Amino acid sequence: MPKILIIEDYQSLLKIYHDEFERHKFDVKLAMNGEEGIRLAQAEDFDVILLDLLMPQADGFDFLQTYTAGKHNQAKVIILSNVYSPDYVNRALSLGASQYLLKADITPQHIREIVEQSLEADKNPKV
Amino acid sequence: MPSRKFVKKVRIANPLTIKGKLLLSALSELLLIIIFTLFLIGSTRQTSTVTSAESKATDIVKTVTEIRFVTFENLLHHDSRSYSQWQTGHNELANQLSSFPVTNGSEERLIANIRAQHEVIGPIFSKLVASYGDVPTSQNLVAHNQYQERLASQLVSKQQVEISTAFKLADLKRDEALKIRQQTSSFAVIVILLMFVITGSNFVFVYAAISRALTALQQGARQIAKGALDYRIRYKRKGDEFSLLAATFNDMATSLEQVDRVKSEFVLLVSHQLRTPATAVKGFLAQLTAIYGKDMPAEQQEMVVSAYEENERQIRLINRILAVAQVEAGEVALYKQPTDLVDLAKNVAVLLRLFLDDKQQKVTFDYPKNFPLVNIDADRIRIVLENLLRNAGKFAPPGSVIEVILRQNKKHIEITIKDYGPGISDEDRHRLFKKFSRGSSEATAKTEGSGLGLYLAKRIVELHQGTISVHSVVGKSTSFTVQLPK
Repeated sequence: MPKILIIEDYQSLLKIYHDEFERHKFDVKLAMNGEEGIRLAQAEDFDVILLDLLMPQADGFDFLQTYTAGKHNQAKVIILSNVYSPDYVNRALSLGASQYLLKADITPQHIREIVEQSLEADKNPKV
Repeated sequence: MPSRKFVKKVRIANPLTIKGKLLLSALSELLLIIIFTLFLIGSTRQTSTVTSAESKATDIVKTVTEIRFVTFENLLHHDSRSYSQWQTGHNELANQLSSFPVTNGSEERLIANIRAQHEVIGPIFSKLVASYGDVPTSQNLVAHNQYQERLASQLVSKQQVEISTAFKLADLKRDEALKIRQQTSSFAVIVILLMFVITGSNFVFVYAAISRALTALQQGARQIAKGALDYRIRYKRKGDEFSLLAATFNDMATSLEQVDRVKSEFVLLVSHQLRTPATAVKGFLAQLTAIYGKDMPAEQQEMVVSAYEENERQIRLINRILAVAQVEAGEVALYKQPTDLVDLAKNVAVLLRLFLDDKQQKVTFDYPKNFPLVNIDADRIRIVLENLLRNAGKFAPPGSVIEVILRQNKKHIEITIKDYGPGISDEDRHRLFKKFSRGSSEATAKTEGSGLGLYLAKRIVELHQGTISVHSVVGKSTSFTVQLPK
């Protein structure tokens, strides 16, 4: 069962993403801000982390910085933000995020598909 | 916040304030004027002294000449009138000699010489006049005549010396006066030239400082106007008024930069705040369809689809308003890279497939082989193409064809999107690219739109140093052409 951590401060979205991934047999953990996210991410290994950027108490960038420097840093971090600015994208990718998705553009199903694809790609790495 | 290109700063460095420079210039002029005035007073006094001495010398010449004239008259006529005239002249000469303002050795020698003749001439003339009364006897007639002749010849020769000496004195005085006049005028010329030089160099000095500072300020203002808000003018701390102005200018730029930063952060924040609830609605609707869609009656399904479409429209509108806000905040830094424009246009058409399928519209592509890669910000140009294609789809009749035509020449590439819709009237065409402008036709009234799409497209194309134009035949077709530099 793939393990996913969703870090999102907007409750409705957190619920939607949680429901979608749980319905598709993911082991889902939730965090409402960066700080909580860091605590959870440092306690165990995840396969994927969905990360919002603008959050109170440690934003997504703070999370990325701490996470990549920590012990458990193997998860794929996918940014889910509603801010699109090339600066943000570059910063997030350079801090170790693997993808940057604009929330408003995609449905929860679409996000789940992207997560599954990226997990598939990890299982069968291209030679 | 995109980092802006740092432009070289221009230095304003003047040790003196402009006020100081002008004061210095005025003081030096004043000093020159004082020196010149003092000189003029001095030289006027000197000139008048020399001129009066010159006229006194001339008087001596005149008196001496007159004495000689009456002497000759007396020698001829032995009369008492000429004698008394001679005496008057003789006394006058004595006065003139004693009152002559002697200034140097050679003058003194000349005066002494004239005086010596004058003192000798008096007794000789008295003797001569006294001899007129003597009646010579036949024995002493010759001796008497000889005596008179000797006295007369002595008299003439002494007077000759006297006259030539007087002339010498007059010449001397005239030369002296001339020399002083020449000196005065050449000094005046020098002072005037000096004033010109000082005024001129002051002017150049002050002008250069002002001009340099103004150029620096103008350059700074131009950079700020271009949006390079991190531009600063370099200046000396203890400089002139322009340094103060430069400091104020820099403060202004800093404030602008802060306002700009706050504004762009605000745009980012608002974009986040507006999009998030809309995203949640989208998520719920998607979940509703995914989980319960199959069990819903057709009417409910239609409602969900409508709600989904409205939500999509809402998100699109938010994106567009934010894109405009970003463009207007000067917040758009282009991330240009070589892009396959044909591919991009096809992509946009694929994304709009559902929207175009609604009216069974087809998009055709016409482009030459080996169409070059174009250096553009693909994300932004995508917005332009999407807006133009969406526009074409909105207005073109169902089942019609929308043509996307790509062309290139030496300097530009052109992408034209042509639809066979109702066309655009001249009146509408003029305000087409203005913010919140929408067409006045019936067709426009029937379609949805924010009046921001074309405005945004134009701004983005202009950021690429390109142009966007429209050609339309009312009732037949409309072509929007975007021209971008290669």
